Amino acid sequence: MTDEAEQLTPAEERVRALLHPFSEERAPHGAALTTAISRTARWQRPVRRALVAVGTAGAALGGGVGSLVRGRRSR
Amino acid sequence: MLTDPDQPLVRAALAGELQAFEQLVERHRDVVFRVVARLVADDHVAEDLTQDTFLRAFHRLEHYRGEAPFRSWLLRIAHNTAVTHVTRAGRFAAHPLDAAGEEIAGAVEPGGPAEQLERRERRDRLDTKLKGLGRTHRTVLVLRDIEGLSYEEIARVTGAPVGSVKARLHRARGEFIDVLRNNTYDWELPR
Repeated sequence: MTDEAEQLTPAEERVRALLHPFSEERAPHGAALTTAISRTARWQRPVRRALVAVGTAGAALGGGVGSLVRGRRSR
Repeated sequence: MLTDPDQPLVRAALAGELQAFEQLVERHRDVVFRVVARLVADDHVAEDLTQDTFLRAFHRLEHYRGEAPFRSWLLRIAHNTAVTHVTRAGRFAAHPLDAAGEEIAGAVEPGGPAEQLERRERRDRLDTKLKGLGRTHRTVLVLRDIEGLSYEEIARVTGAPVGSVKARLHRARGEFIDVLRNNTYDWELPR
């Protein structure tokens, strides 16, 4: 995805060539890593949704109580 | 809107298809690992941070607006995750690797055992030199000269303006060339 043509010096070209083998490295235990990510995402999703729902409800409750208190004070 | 081959998978993952997210992990697992591995000290930490990156991406997927390629968005999370880790750990991964035990994961190496050993030693020496660079220089060098990202993509990943990316890259290459020239090992750098 290199979109610009670069004018590299011979030394810079050499650096790029030296670094090239790193671009062929793969994550160790790749398949196991994908499985672990997927499994964690699967159980975290409902837990996160529940926490977000609780947080939203708490914020709404807090906001309601706050309005009530402010309303009483202003009377 | 960009023609990003990941967009259909992102949409499917957002609709609740975990398999689509799994395919995104398969597509980008290696690049995330490589970028993170160059920023932290060892591969075990890099694996953990790769996992963290994808989980963060999964939970924040609804915030991805599709204005940039998914890969750039993901690499930004990976970069930030690695930077947060090394900052918290109080070090910037400038530690030599245990060269004897390191392997190029998953790579099928041609040549005989002696040739393979030599290539591996050379790779480890180079990795150590690369990890000796400061984080910002190392990051742009990795993203450009290893991963082949455009300046714009690097800017998105690092959060730096394109002009700064170009300047950093120029300085990073210069610094790395100096490091390699001053090394006793002959990297065959033209004068």
